[in-house]
Order: sequence, then structure tokens, then C-alpha cells
Amino acid sequence: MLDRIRNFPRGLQRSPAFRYLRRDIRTKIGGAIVLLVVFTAIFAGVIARRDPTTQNFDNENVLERFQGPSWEYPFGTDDKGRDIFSRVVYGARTALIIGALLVVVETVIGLPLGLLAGYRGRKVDNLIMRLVDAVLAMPGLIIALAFVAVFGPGLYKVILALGITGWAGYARLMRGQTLAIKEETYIEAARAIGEKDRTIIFRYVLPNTLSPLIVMITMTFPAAILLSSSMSFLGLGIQPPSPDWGYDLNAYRPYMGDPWPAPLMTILPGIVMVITIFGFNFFGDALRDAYDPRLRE
Amino acid sequence: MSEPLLKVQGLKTYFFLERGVVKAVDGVDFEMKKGEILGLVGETGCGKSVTALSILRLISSPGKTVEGKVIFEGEDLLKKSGEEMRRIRGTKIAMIFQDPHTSLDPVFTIGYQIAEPIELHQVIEQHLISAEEVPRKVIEMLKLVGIPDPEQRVTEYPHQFSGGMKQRAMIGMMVSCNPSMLIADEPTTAVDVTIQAQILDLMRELRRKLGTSILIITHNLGVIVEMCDRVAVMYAGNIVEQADTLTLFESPKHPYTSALLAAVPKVGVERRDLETISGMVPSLINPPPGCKFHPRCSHAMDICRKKFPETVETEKGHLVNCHLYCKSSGGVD
Repeated sequence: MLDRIRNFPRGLQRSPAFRYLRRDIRTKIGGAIVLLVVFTAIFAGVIARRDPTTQNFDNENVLERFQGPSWEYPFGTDDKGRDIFSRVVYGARTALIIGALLVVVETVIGLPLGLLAGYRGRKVDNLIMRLVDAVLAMPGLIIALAFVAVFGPGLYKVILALGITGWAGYARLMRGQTLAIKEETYIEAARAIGEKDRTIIFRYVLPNTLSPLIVMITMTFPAAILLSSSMSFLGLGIQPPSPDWGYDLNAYRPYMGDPWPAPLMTILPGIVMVITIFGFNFFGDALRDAYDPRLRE
Repeated sequence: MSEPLLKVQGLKTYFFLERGVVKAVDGVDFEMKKGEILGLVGETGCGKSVTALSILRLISSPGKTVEGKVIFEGEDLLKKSGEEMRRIRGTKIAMIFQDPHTSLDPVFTIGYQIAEPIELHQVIEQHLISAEEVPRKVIEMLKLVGIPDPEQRVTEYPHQFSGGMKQRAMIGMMVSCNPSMLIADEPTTAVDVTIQAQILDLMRELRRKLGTSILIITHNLGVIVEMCDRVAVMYAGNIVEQADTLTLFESPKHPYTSALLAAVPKVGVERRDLETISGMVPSLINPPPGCKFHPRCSHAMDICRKKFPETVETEKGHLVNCHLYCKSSGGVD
């Protein structure tokens, strides 16, 4: 008995949220898609039988371009004779890395700034929030394009390029949440039992801002994938021949009007991308409800 | 009589707003003995809560305690550093709040929250108990405040508790480090009458068991009669009268106190209208000169408009600020 009490939950309690999650139909659908994408990204080398950058030739040494879907090439081949399925599979890896790193970068910058601005108020708040206003006044994608134009394209540069403006939304969200939570009686109670400011910020304010933060993260994650794809689509993101959904969509775009099966080159990767983003959004919704104790039974 | 536990002298806490300075607490003096239950009573907005928060130094900008002394156990709290003050909160003076539904953090279990002050003060700062003993102590606290099945309830969240149980848990959390003084800011306003009685019983019992002095802030005169040894009546930022509960209720001296007592409807007396105090609560930005009650007072004299009355002790322990009782002001004794 004492064991169970000693382990009474500290911090974010996992089990009730987890139990709630397991019952939610959205978790099942969204989670399945997310798991599938993550699994695909991790085991891309096993799932894709061919290298995504190799041009394929048949027995007579003819380049196998514009092939329709077949057992050999599940999504067909592209204009350069590469296996589109392999490119989509490896593209998932690129997409997840960009999504995850970008969210991390944005949270790491935006979250502490927002908390600080909201909790300290006055001068600190003014300073941080005017910076946020300035950043939000700049068009994110254009800034990112300019950044890449100066420093060159590439995976990590794309993440930095999007991160330097993307954090502002996080800071603003966290500030608003902090301002609201700060006025709660339980924060006053925390001060009345002699808690330190640091403890109040991280142990009282932060956990109470988590559900909107999780929603924000699950919204920015697919958005990050879309944004980086847009940059690649414009030729300023991931560089060929590395597989990337956005780049491929642009590369195959000219063949959209060609006779069948050429349009499949864009349609199939496009569908995969849409399903992935849908899955993440769906899962995010379920996660939000599960982490809000008031929405649990 | 021994040294008082708490001695508040000339306390002034102002709020500096754009439209003017709100003199929420404008010169408050009172004392509390060890183990005493003192009631602080007055209308909404008369400065009761601000007085309490000033004692704990929890007033944040734009508010500021500009003058006065808060002598607690012989030391002036207003002279303490922020860190010293932080260590006093929860261990020496604790506070419970009006609405139990919002004073507990919704994302943590009850057990976690009660463990918080114990861990912070008794384990980390004072090394009184070891970390392993915290859960036992938490359950002990829940038992003390009368939560049934505490072993089970520690792992529950505030939303699984009823209002009365939340307030009990809150009290448990606040007395967990044996404070010598507990400030209860309208502890029963947000709960129903049955629970009110239970919470009051609990607080009386805690005083008996732990010897805690309790400062009860309320506008409910019933709570005062039931709980308090002494009462201080506040009006517009000043304490206008203080006395033993019985004395005050039997022979109120200040016209405001009399009017307040007259406004309580009596069971068995048939009346069409309730007794009221005519006029409005004065603005705390531009309070009336002299005695702040004079515009509403039926006994107002010339001097009342000019000079704030000095404190007069009409009998032992019965202090009143009213010109009616000042000999020098020409009042009748």
C-alpha cells in the first residue's frame, strides 16, 4: 500500500491520459497513421527495395522511365527511371526529421521567452513581445527563402530558416497562457506556501499550459512538413537527388497533363503526404483531449 | 499578557493606478495573541483581503505596502528580504483562500500538492523529515482534516473532490508545516452551509490540536460569532472598532458596527424590509476627509468631517475610533 502511495503521480501523470487515449477512435486512426509513417521513416531501408536515387534499367539496359505501378515498382518510376515508392518512403524520413527538429527549435526558443514574458510582466514582457511582434510582422516563408538564398539550401539550414521566425507563435501562446494561469488562486496559494518563482513557473504554470502547447505542437508539426515541402517545391529546400516530397512534387508537376500513368507520379506521393498530415492532426486532437484532465471522465 | 504573536501597526497598502491612488489599507493597527482566533469583518472592498496579503507580503504591483510595521514573533516582516519572507510563508504563516475550486492546481493530484510544502520546507530547507516519510505525512494530513479513505484519495485529482473536501485538502496543505498562524480569507464563502459548519469545526479543532492562531476574514457575522475570540471591524481601509466578540455584539460602540449588526435579519422577527446602511461605500481614491464613515453616519458632528478620530479604549480591550467617545473631541463618554 505504502508503495503505491509513495509513487503517487508526480508531474504529468501518464496513465489516465494513456487510458483515455487508448479508448479514443481518433487515436486509433491517427495513431496508426503516425506509427506507420514513423515506422516507414525508421525502416526505410528495409521497406524500400530500391535506392531512391538510383536510375533503374531493364534487362536490355533500357532506362525504365514513366512505368505504371507494378509489383516491381509499386508507385511506378519517374522521368529519370527512379522508383517513386522508394522516394516516397525515404521522403517520409526527411519529412519527420524536419517536422521534429523544427518543432524542437521553435519550442526551445519560444517557450521560455513566452513564460518569462508572461510571468515577469512589465519591462521584460514589453521587450520580448515587441520582438515577437517584429518577427510576426515578417513573412515567414519569404524570410526563410532569403535565409536560404544567403546561407545556401540543405536540411539543417531549412530548419533554422523556418525556426528563426516560427518561434514567435509559441512565445505568444505561452505568454497568453502564463498571463491567465498566473492569476489563478492556486498560483497565489503556491506563493503563500513559500514556493520559489522558478518552481512556480516550471511546476505550476508550465504544466497548466501543456494542453494548448501540445495542440500547438501537433499543429506546427504537419505545418512544418508542409512549409519545408513548399521550400523544396520552390527548389530552395532539400536538394536533389535527396528524396523529399516537396521537391518530387515539383519535379513531377510537368507530367500532370501527360497521358496515363504519368499523372500518378504526382498523385500517389501527394496522397501519401495528405494522409500523413491528416494522421498527425487527428492524433493531435486526441492527445489534446487526453491531456486535459477536465475532459477526462 | 505575553508578547503578541502578530502586531500590525499603521499598515498602509496603496494601489497606484492611472486614475489615482487607491488607499485600500490606510493605517491598520491590530494585535493577535498566540492561539487566538481573530475575525476581520467588513464590507466588500474595505481592505480585509489586502490587509491579509500585506501581512504575507503577497501584494504585487501596482500595489505596494508603503508604511507600517508587521511584527510577527518579534520581527518586522516588512523588513525581511524576499528569500527570508518566502521561507516564512507556509512554515510560520499560511493562508487559505475563498474558493477551493480554484485554489488547487487542476493538473496535479491532491497528494502531490499536499506533498509540495512538506517537501519544500520540511525536507529540503529544514531537514526535519526524510523524503521517504513525505507520503506518510501527506496521508496523516488528510486524516487530520477528515478526508475519508486518505490512502485512496491522495492519488485523485482536485476535480474528483467535492468543494468541501477541496477546502479540507487545502487546509491540510496549509497546516502541513505547523504554521503558528493561519490566515483564512473567507474560507466558507464558496461552500454551502453544511460544509461551512464542517470547515469551521475543522479550523476550531486545528486550533485546539495544533495551537494555531487564526485570522478569519469574512463578511459573515454568523461565522464571527461562532468562531472568533475577538473581532476587528474594518471600514474603508481602517479598523474602526475591535473588541471581544461578545462585547462587540452586545455593546457595539462605533455607529458603523451598530448599523452592521442591525442589518442582520433576525429569525422570528417579522419585517418587510431589511435594515440597510444608507449611502454608498466611499471611494478609496478620494475618501471623505476625517472619519470616512461620516457621510453615512447619523451621529456625525463637525469634527467628524475634519479629523480622523483617535483610538479610544472604552473598556479593557475594547478599542474604537469614533469622535463620540473622544473626550477631547467633545463627544459624550
